[in-house]
Amino acid sequence: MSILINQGTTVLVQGITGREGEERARLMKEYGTRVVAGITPGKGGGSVYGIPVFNTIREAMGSVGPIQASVLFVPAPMAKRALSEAIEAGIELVIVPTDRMPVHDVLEVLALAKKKGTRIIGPNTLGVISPEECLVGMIGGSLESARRFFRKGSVGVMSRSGGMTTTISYLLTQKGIAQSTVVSIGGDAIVGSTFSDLLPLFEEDEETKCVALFGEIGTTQEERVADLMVNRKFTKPLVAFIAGVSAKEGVRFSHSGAIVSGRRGTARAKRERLGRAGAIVIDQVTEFPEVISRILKRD
Amino acid sequence: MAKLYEYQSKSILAKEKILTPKGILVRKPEEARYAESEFPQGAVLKAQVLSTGRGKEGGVRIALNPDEAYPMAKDLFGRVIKGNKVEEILLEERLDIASEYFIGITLSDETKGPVLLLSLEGGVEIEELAEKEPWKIKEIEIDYLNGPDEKEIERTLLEWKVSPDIVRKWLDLSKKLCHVFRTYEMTTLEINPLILTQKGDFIAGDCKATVDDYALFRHPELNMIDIPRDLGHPPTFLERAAWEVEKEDYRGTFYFAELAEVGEGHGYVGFHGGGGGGTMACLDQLTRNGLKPACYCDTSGNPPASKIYRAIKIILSIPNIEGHLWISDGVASQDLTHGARGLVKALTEMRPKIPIIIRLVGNNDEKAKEIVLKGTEGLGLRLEYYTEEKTTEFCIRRIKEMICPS
Repeated sequence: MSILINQGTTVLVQGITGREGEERARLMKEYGTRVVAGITPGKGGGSVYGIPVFNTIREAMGSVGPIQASVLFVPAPMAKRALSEAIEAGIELVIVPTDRMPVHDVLEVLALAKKKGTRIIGPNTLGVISPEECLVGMIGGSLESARRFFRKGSVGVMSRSGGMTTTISYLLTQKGIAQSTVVSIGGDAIVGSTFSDLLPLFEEDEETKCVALFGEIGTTQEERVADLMVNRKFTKPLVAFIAGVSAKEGVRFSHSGAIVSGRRGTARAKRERLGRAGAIVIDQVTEFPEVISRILKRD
Repeated sequence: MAKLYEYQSKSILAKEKILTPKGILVRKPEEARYAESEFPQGAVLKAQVLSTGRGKEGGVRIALNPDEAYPMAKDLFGRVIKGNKVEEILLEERLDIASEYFIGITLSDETKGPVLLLSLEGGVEIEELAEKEPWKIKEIEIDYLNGPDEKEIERTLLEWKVSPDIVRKWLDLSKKLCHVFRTYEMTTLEINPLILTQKGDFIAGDCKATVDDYALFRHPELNMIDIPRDLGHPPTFLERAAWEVEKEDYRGTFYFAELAEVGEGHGYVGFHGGGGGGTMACLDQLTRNGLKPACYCDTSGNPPASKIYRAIKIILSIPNIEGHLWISDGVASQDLTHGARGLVKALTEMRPKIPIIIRLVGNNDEKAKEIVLKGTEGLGLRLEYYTEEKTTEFCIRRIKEMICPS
């Protein structure tokens, strides 16, 4: 099993005729994802790698049937409109790799998503992969690396850093530890699905035995993971790494979410809270495989 | 995010019909001589710096008589307040203060929306208050589509024994602030203190605001913002140069911040990583090994050779660095040959004498290695190049060894 996406998930690509959209649509399709349609307003009627292109989502649904997930390859200034269309059309899961999306656009769309019950991953995510079943987004980069980096198994992976999502999974795979679902949640200060939104899904998923988490300074996400564990809403083993122990206050480290303001959001506080809640907090990313393999053997 | 200076935030408030004290911004002591004559009741002099807590550092002075303002301004100019040199002073009228309150809007990653903050204790550091007496601050979730729940604001204030006519003023101000927050796409907006005058008016005593740098493209009215980056200090020459490279070029990301005033002591290295989280994790590793990163530099996405060439030149221009380290792995979308070409060009031009260690793992890494090794042949560099066969930890220890041979 897996969370969010599996081999049955039907996927739509918004912005499919753009440079990124086209390339990633091909990656997803070749990996085995059921990409059933693409959208580019004004380019309906064509096709990309055998995927039919439509002008609107309603049109696509009328033609290819129900669509469960959508992924956006749309530049930031247009992302709000595209996302709103997906939400209004009733798509349950929307994955948003778009980078530098204005936060007020995100807020507006999330308010709408909350009303309609849509789950959003991102913005600024590499995507989600349930290895050997379904890949949505650009995670893995190329077909060859996606197959090499990720293997189907029992460890859930979540990360605020796109690059580290892949790195951690690859470290695990190299040691023969495979993954149930890998989620790049996005590095922005406000994201559609936080760690604590997704952990209950891993809790429910029978296949997932343990979760690896890459957190960083800024926001309250890791603190809320600790709360979740204290309240027994997440009871599986959690191994966490928090980046930014050496970060100076007031300096932003690339991601819009990665900033310590005043006394809030320090790596030290996050490590302490998670540790007290029962998580295993490691000092180096390279420790993930060893610690997790010990956990898996124990159970 | 981009922080606004007090006078900039206040100019926005004034435009949106929120009362602010009468004020004049001066950039030279002589200008204060003219300005002081505009305040017959005396003036408050406020150093315009982006750090909090300037009051405790002597950044706010009160001139009881108009002729005191000029000498005070003269003294204040050029002082350094929490690392920020005072280059602008806001002179403001003195107000007849009846009470000082607090009102603000911030973003919550938990509710994924804005939150309105109210307190009857203004003029104090709100973070400190939140820690010591959190019950004195009321947080009210703002529905992004419909605005704040006015009933809840009212209930809170009445519980706090605020008189109904003042409650009306709070409600009015809350709505106006929500409007400002949305219109200018802010991420924080704080009025502290919010002053209630003897006459019964609400006036913004001080105002701090940050706006979303991702939205600046559609806000020409915010062109007063210098460099929309959180650097924790005023931008240095190299940070300005880095911003010039980044601002018009959307191909990939180049993020650069200087972390230390390099000069004293040993062990400073130029540091370059790939991808937000990984670069920060590597920075921690460097620090743990006793090295001092002189900068944080992240190139990711898929930047062209020209961008990486400039990034490396900027890093190598930091005075007194004793080594340079570029470590990047796992950034899925990056073609490392672009970076390799950029590196060769920068090294050929600058021919640094310091030890350099490169570890690039990812798409086309073997080809990238070949480009660098061939391209730098005969330059007489102390360069070592690794790919997957050596770990990041090894590279960090190796550069340390090369800098401080034991």
